[in-house]
Amino acid sequence: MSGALDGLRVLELGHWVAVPSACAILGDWGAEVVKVEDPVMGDPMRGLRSVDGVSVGEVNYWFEQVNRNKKGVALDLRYDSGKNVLRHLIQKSDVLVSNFKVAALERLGLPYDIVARLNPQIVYAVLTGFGREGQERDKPGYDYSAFWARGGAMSKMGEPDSAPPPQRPGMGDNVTSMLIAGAISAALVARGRTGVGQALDLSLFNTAVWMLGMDMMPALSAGIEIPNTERGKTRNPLWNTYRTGDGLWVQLVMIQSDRFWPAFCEAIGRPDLEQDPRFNNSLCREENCAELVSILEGVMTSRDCASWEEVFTRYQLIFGRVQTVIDVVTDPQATANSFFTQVPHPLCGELRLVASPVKFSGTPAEVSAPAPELGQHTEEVLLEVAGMTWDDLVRLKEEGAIP
Amino acid sequence: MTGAMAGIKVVELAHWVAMPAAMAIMADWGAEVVKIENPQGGDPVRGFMGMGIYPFDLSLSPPFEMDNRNKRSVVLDMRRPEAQEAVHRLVAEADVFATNLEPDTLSRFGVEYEALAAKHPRLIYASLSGYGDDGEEWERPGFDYSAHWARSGIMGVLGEPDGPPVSPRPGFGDHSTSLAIVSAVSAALFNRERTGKGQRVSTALLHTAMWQLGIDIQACLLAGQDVPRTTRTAVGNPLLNYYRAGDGRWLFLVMPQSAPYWSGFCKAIGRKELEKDPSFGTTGGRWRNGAALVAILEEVFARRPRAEWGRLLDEHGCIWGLVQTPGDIDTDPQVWANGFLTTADHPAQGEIKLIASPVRFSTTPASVRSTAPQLGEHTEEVLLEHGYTWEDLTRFKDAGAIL
Repeated sequence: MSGALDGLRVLELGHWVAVPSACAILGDWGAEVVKVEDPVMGDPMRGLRSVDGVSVGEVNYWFEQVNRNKKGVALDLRYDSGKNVLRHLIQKSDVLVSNFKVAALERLGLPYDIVARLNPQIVYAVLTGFGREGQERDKPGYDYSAFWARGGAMSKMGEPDSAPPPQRPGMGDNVTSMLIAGAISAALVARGRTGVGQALDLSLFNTAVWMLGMDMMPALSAGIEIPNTERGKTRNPLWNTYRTGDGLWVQLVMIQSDRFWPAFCEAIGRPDLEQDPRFNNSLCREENCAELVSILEGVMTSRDCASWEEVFTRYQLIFGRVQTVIDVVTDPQATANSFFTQVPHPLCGELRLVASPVKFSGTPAEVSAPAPELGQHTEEVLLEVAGMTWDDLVRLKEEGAIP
Repeated sequence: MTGAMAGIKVVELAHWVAMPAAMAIMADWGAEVVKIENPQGGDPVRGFMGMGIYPFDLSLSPPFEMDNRNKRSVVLDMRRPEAQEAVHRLVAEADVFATNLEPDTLSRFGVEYEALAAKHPRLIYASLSGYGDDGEEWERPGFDYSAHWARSGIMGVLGEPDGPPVSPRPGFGDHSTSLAIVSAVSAALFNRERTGKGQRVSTALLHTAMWQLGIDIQACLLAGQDVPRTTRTAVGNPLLNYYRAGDGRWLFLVMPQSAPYWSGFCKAIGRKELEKDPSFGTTGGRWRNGAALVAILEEVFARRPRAEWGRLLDEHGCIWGLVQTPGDIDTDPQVWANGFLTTADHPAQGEIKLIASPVRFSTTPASVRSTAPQLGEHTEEVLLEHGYTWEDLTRFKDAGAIL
């Protein structure tokens, strides 16, 4: 069986995380992804040595995660001959995706109207930090700033009046990558009907606003800012985090608390609470939330996390254990569902990667190659895709347009 | 101009957030979405105002409006055979069936993948689970707090070292998951154009979270050690960190490659002597002396209000971002300049503001044509369109299959 996007060619002018990650999804789904990089600098992600003190080691796994399944072409776009090669590639591609700055794309002679003249069928997707309009359209955006901070998420997390929590690297980028893959696929569906491609305008900021929608909507409809969650006084104590006896944490998620209250009281061995007038319906629990949270904090430390999981499962309550990242990579449920995949790697034997997050019954995703070395496929792609000859390549090499 | 998904018909048998949010995106992109709800109040998000999340009362449910605009609502009691037959009739003319009901419920209603695929080989069947379709926990109900946020490691790795884990915001993981679903459905529709075949696409809240946290998870897969939490006060790169300005508002410095910005940054903060300081003058020095530099910067940034810092940082070419609240979004000119928000006429409320789906298409624009439907608003209209007569409807009503 082949992938959903089998036979499509995607040209990536991307760096860092969001666009490379989107193209990794498209590649997993069967598209041929040609990643064009500067011969000297390459994608700056190649140069990362460590994040938060965890060293990359011999294999740059962050780069691997978002660049598997791609062909690497090194092309110096400061040369006219380099730009010319790119134009050849554009004519032979279905999709062009970039998170270069809009001004940089214009400097390279790649605004949408010119690209569309070269190839009217192409889907042209550009990701910005803050949108293509407005005063800040040219401002560089990273997920920390444009997504996490500007989009509102950062200020809403953490206890009231405390410093907001930091996010993790690339989190907003990887959310946005799923949207980029979706928008491109939708534009390909539309192309089937209309026969022409179009430009797609995406931004980290806009994606964040979508993601935080449930907090945005009250602000939009009533001008109301929802207070940050205060663990000690959460309005629904059955929708809160508690520390267990062994110091681990459990997240309870019984949003409709009345439905679960009797079973919950039994599960925690406190049937006396069920009819307690302070707590016996959701309104009372809300009124006396601090008191109930404090009782539950005491109860929850009486057993370790695994034993609570066993009890809560038996009573069909909704909860989740708070895992560390290392727990996740050894989680049998993740393995049973193939949330990970692996691919042979020249440096480390088998390389384990996070699989793209959808299962297709008819067109399965596949990872068949690790991330390319810088320019690994330059000659192959220029010969096979751009229709060049070895003589052309020699000339490009002499000029310095390819390494 | 019509939307990218014009002509695509979707039957949504889903509740809560992630799947309805995905189908809201499909609807914005032009698909016709019929939402099937039960007669006992319908989608629980209609009753969100009573769940203790928002400390105020509104006459509409803001999150329901967000995730159900542009849809028609049909009430059917799926426990009744007439209702199941009606859904089969709707599916016969549909392109997509979208659900996040639990597996045993789907089988009980006769709408599991095998049943629908056998009759409708062109159907795209989109399903969502908490923890995947396989493994011991395949039937465990999943909410984004538990399956996405807690289980994936995101919650465990956010927050200061030794502090409690950071609580997410409602629907945060659901809305990021909605992007993966919409991608998968679009890719499957594109594939169907070429192969003529439908398929099942499924994702899991846990898997999308792992994709989102991919950089950290990838580190653990290879390094075999857990990633430390980020602490704001001792980061390796103080130019990738956030600081509280004199007016109490936060700003985020986002210069992951600090070297090219260091000189301009020192000028912006009026501390030119730091530029050549042996402790801080190099990337390595700033890394080793991160805590000391953060302490200096905390003190510096506390001296002026945020707007002044913003101007100074901009003047010196530094990358930084505002840390906003959801309430700030509505008044953010960049948001309106880019159409991240849109308005719609609500029959009872007049004009309401909604978050636009987070992509702009140049030739197949997204649009919000109607607000969220009343429960069962379109039951009769849709059933009549599918060949039922008024007599049938009377019979259904008598049997309790419709309202």
